[in-house]
Amino acid sequence: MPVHVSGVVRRFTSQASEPVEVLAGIDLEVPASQFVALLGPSGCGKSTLLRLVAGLDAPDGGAVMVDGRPLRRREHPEALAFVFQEAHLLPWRTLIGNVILPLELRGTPHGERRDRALHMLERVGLADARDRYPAQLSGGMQLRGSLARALVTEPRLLLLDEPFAALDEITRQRLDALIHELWRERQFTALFVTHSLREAVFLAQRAVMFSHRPARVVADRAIEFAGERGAELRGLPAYHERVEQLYQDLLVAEAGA
Amino acid sequence: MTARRARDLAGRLAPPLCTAVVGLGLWELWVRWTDPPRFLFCAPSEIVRDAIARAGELAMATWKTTVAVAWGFALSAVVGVAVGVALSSSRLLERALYPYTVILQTVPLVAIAPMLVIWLHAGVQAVSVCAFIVSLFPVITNTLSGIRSIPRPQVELFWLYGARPLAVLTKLKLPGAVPSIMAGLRIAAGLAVIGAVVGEFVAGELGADRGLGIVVVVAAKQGELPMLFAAVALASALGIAMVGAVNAAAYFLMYRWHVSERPD
Repeated sequence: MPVHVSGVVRRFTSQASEPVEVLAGIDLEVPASQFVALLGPSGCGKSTLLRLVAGLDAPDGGAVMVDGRPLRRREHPEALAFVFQEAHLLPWRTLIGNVILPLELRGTPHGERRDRALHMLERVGLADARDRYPAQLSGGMQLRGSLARALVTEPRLLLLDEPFAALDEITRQRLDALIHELWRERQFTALFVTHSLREAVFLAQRAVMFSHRPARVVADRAIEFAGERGAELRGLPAYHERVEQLYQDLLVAEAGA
Repeated sequence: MTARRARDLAGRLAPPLCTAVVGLGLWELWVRWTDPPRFLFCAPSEIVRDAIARAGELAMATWKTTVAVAWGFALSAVVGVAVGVALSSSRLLERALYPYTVILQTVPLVAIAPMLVIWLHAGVQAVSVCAFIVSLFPVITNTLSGIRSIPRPQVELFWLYGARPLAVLTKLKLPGAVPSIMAGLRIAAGLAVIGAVVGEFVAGELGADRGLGIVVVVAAKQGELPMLFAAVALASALGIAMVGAVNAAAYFLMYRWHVSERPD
């Protein structure tokens, strides 16, 4: 599902101070099935952009088009799913109950729900934990659960807002591998906000670097590797060159150039 | 019941029972030792003796008060949750109404009980309304804060999937507010007993249908100290039973998922 962002401006007003401009005319064209990493200094507005694409927030200027249709206020694209910074599973529902929830809200026929949810849990390796409550799951398992919840509706656009920031390195690499696999399988469009340059290089076909507030695009690079992306990718010189290049971009972004 | 569960239960009941036995024993010894005038103080054994002698009367009074407490509490649970949900649905409504709910908390019950007698006549209805008024506020305010503290991303998740307001209420707001609502009901359970007993002072029925509040008033006037203590003890037991019932309901609703009901 293609996403077109053109000239998007977003300001936040607070009573105490002048309005703060967070996004100052962002243009971004994302073709269908592309995996894009959104990078930049903390607080630069990456997450704001993601929320605009989801229809959770409305721009003060410019337009967001998803699947060729302009987004109106309080309208959320149908085939979209959002993965938040924390898992945010509903604690009173079992894991499978949480994965069923989007199907329930969308009105998927009763008979299909459980099978689809179970299939998705198998896919993220949590079928055995399906009847456990979120409090009985580790942080990594909860995030895998939230990934299953996001993908169960078979979205064509997946928005991820720094979902793995709180995890340890090994768990994070495993989940990155899982996302990569799922993306190859299903070919959804993905916008992935992250602070980890290595994560971005491992997952994304394209990395967009934003500057400090008000955010502008300071670099927009294709990330291509010959061959498949597996664990061995992290050892290749080409991988490290890419990470180094993004690091230089980040320094530029930090300097506010 | 397995042996382990029986042991758990015994472990839970033993400490408060020991407290009671030691406390009552000291009280009894002290009265026998100092022998105070009986219009000032009496011993636990005397309270038990009088209570047994007039067990029928006390049982009836306890039953009458229990009915009023149950009505008042049930009413404040239903109305309190409904008002809390309504206030949470709009900031304007909250601003318009919330200040007035505080009146429930501050108005002295003995001052409005006479009005209730005028409107409803003395009896179980007026007393139930007293219990209701006194126990309503904590339910409203806890429901409201429970719903308001549901994490924003969970609400947004429901929006993203196009959930209807009714689905947001039944699948997110109410279950999400359950821990908070139960905390409110726990406070309300104790307050309902206080409301009913104090309500009976003013609005209770006299004669055969009298509740514990009237037993207290009459016993105090006639200097029947053991009866006075017995009525107070029964009112306390009623309060403990009410709070226990709410705790049991909370456990049943939340033991699977909420930290507060997790075994250590």
